Amino acid sequence: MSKTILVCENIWKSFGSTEVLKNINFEVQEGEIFFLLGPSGCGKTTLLRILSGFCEPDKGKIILDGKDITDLSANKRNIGMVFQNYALWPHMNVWENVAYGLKVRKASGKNIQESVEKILNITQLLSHKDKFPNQLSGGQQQRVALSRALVTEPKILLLDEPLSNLDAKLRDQMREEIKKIQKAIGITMIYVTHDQKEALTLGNRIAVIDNGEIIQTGTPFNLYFEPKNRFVASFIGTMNFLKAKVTDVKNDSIELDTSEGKMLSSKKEGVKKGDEIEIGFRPEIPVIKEGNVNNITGKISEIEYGGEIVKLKINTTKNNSFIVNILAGKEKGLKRADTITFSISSSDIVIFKK
Amino acid sequence: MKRTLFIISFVFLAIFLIFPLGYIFSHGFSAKGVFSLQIFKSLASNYLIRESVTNSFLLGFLAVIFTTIIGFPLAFLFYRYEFPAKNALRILFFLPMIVSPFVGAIGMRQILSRFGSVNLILMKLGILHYPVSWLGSGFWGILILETLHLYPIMFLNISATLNNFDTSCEEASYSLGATFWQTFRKITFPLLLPGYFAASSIIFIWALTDLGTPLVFEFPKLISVQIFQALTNININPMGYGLVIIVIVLTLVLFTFTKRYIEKTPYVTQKSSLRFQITQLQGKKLILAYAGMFFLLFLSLIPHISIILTSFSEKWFFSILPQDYSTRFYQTVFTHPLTKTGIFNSLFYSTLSTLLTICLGFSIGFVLARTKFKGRGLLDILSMLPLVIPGIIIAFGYFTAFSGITFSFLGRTFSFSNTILDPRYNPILLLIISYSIRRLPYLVRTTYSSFQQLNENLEEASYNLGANHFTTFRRITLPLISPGLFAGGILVFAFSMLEVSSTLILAYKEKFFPISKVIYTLAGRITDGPYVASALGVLGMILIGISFAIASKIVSKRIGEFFRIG
Ligand SMILES: Nc1ncnc2c1ncn2[C@@H]1O[C@H](COP(=O)(O)OP(=O)(O)O)[C@@H](O)[C@H]1O
Ligand SMILES: [Mg+2]
Repeated sequence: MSKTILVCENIWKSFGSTEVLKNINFEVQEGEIFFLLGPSGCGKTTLLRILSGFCEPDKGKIILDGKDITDLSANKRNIGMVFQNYALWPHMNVWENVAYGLKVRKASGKNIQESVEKILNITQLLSHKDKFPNQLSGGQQQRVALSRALVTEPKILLLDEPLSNLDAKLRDQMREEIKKIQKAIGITMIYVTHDQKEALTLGNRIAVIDNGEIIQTGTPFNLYFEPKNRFVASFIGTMNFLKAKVTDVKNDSIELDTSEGKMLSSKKEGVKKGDEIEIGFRPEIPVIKEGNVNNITGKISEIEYGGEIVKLKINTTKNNSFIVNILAGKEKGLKRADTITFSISSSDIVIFKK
Repeated sequence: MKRTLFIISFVFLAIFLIFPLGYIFSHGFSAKGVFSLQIFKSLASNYLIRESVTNSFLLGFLAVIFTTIIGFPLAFLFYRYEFPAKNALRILFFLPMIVSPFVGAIGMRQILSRFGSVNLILMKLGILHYPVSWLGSGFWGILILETLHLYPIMFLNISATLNNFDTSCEEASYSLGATFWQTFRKITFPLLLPGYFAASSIIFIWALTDLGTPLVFEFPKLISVQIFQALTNININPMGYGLVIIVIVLTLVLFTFTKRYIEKTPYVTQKSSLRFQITQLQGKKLILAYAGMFFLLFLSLIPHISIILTSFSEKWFFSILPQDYSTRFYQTVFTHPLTKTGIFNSLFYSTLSTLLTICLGFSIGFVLARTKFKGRGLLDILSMLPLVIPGIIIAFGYFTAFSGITFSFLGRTFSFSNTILDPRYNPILLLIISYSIRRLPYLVRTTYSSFQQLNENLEEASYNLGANHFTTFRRITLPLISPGLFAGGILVFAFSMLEVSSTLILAYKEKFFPISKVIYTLAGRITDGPYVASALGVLGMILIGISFAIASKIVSKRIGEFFRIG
C-alpha cells in the first residue's frame, strides 16, 4: 500500500489514578479512513485530543509524516479536526467560519476566495455561505465543520463521532457524503465512533478499543470473521458462543468436546490438548441441514423478520441458545417449536482462548 | 384575588417609581412652569459641573478598564485551571464585593494618609524622605476603592459567560493554526462580549453613582456629590434635576444597548458533551498564579484589614500598626446613643423592607407568571426598572417629589407635608420603600422563575384531590418556591443594611440615622469617631458575610444573579 503518514507509538495517558489509555500503537496509511471504534468512555476522544495536541500523553510518541510532533503545540501540527458538536463559531457566517483557517495563515485574498469557494462547492454549501450557524440544519452544520477543517489542506483529518448528533436518517446520508468528500479530496482520516456500522461501511481499517487498549486492528473483513476475542466478536456484529474443551490437536484441525457433542475446527493457533476454550460462529454461517460435522439440533423459539434476513432463535435441549440468520424466503415451511438441525463448516468456527 | 394583587402592585410602582421619576423630569425640563432647557444650558456653562461630569465619566471609564485588567485574567485562571484551595479562593475574591467601598474608604484613609502606614513604612525603609500625599485630590483613592470593590462583578460575569461557551470553539481555532492571540481576538473575546458589556455597564454606572466614597475622601467634583449637594437648596437652584436626568438617560441608554446586544447575538453555543479539559496548574506556573492571586487579595482586602485594625486599636497615630489594642470601641458601639439608635434603626428598616420586598416581589412574580392581564408587559418593565436606576437617583426622586406634597382635588386641598410621606419630617417610610424598590427586581425574578419551573400540574393534582386554592397554595406552591424567596429575603436584608446612597440622602435627622449614615457621620469626627465607625463597620461586615453565607447555601448557583443584568 502507500506510505505511512501517522504513527502512534506506545501512548499512555492517565487522569489522576485512572489509566485512560494503555500503550496505544497504530499506523495510518496515506489516503485511508482509519477507524477508532470502541464503546463510550473507552478513551477515544482522549486519544484524538492527544493526536491533535490538546492533551499531552504521559508517555509515547506521535510521528506525522516522518516528524516527531509529540511536543508540537496544537496550532503548529497541521492536523484538521471535526468536533463532536461541530464547534462552529456562532458569531461568524459560513463563509467566515470556513475562511478563518486561511486568514490566520495570512493567505492572500484571492487564494482565500478560491479555496473557500472550491470547498463550499464540494460540500454543497455555496448557496448558504452568508448564513450563521444557528440558521443551519444539523447536516449543514456538519458540512460546515468539515469544510472548515478541510480548507487548509491538513495532512490528516480527525473526526470525533461526527454523526452522533444527527438523527438516524440523516446519519446514513451524511455517511455517504463523508465518503464522497474523502474520495474527492483524497484526505487521510482518523474517524472516531462507537457505531460499528459506520466503521464497517466506511473504514479501510479499524482499531477496536476497549478500556483504553487497542484490542485488534484490521480490515472490516478481518474483524468480522477473525475477531481476536469475545469483546471484538460481540462488539462487531453478533456471535454465537459455546464453551469447549480441546480433546485432540491434529495436523489441520482440532477436536473439541462441547455440551452439543463433538465438534471440529480448522483453526488451531496456540491451543493444546486439554485447554478450556470458547468457540463461536456468526449467525449467517450455519446451513439448515445435517452435515458431516458440527451438527446442532434444537427447537425454534422465535422467528423474527427483518427485511431480507430472517432471524431464528434456536434453543437446544442442553440449554444453549443460538441465533441463526437465513435469507428471507428460505424459512418457508419452518414455524415456531419445529425441531431443526443446522451445521457449521469446521473452517468457520472461530476459537477464543480464555 | 389575582386582580387585586395586580392592581396593588401597579399602584405601588406608580406612586413610588413613576411619580418620583416623572417629578424629576417635569422639573428638569421646565422653568417657571413652562417647558425649557434652561437647566441644561446653565449646567453646560457651569465650570464646576463640567469638570464633575468629566471626572465622573473618567472615573467610570477607568473603573471599567481597571476591573477588566483584574477580572479577565482571574476569570480565565479559575475557569481553565485547577489548583489547590480553588473554592476557598473564589469565595475570598468575592469578599470585597460585600462591603461598601465607603467603609473601606475609611480604612484606606488610615493607611494612605500623610502619616499613614504606607508612608511610614517607606520612610522607615529609606525609600522616602518625606511623606507623599498618596490620595492627592482623592480621585485616585476613589478609583482604587471602586476598582477593588467592583472587580468581582467583572470576574463573575466573565466567568458566567465562559461557562456558557464551549472550549472546543477555541480548540477549533488552534487546530486551524491560529495563535493564542489570534484565537483570543477573533474567537474568545467576541464570544465574551455580551457578558463583558453587561459587566462594564454595571461597573460604569455603579462607580459613577457611588456617593459614600467620594464623600469620605472629600472629593466634591463628581456628579454624585454634586447631586447630593444640590439637594440642600433644590428649591432655589434646580440644577440637581438636570444632573439626575443626565444620569438616568445615560443609564437607560447604556443598559438598553447592552440588553439589545445580548438578545441580538445568538452566542449560546452548544455545550460539548465532554467537559473541557481543565489543566492542573503545577510548578512555576502555580507559584506565579498564587503570587498574583495573593497580591490581589491583599490589595483588595487592605481596606478591610485596616478597618479591623482600626476598630481594635486604642490609638493609631503616626505608626505603621496601632500602638495599643483594645475592644473598647466595640463597647462604645453598644452604649453610645448614636450607634445604638443606628443599629436599632437599621435592623428595623431592613426587616420591614425585607418583608415588603418579599410580599411585593412575590405578588408581581406571581402575576407575571400566572395571569394574562393586560398591562402585564408594563408591570414587567416597571418592576425591572430599579435594576438599572441607581440608588442615588431613587433617593433624590423621593426627597424632592415627596417633600410637602400638596394638591387640590374636587375643590378640596390635600396636604402630605409633615406626614409620614414627607421625608423632611419623617423619612422612615420612604427609606424602607427605597430599600425595597431597589431589590425588588431580584425577588420578582426569583419568584417568576420558580413559578415557571413549578409545573402547573403539581397544583392541578392538588385541586384534583379536592384541595381548595388556599390549601394548595400553602401545601404545594409555597413550599416549592419558598427557598428562593427566603434566600432572596436574606440578601435584601443584607443589601438594605449596606445601602449607602439613599441612606445618606434620605436619613436627614440623627434619630433616623441607620448604620451607614452613623458610620459616615462618625468617620468625620476627629476624636474617637473613626475607631467607633470602624468597629461598627466590622460588625456590619460580619452581618453581611453571614447573610451571604446563608443565602448562598440555599441558592448556591443563583446568588450571582444579584450582580448581573440582562
Ligand atoms: N480531563 C479529564 N479528567 C479526568 N478524566 C477524564 C478527562 N477526560 C476524560 N476523562 C475520562 O477518561 C475516560 C475516557 O474518556 P473519553 O476519551 O472522553 O472517552 P470516549 O470519547 O471514548 O467516550 C472517561 O472515563 C472519562 O471520564
Ligand atoms: Mg468521546
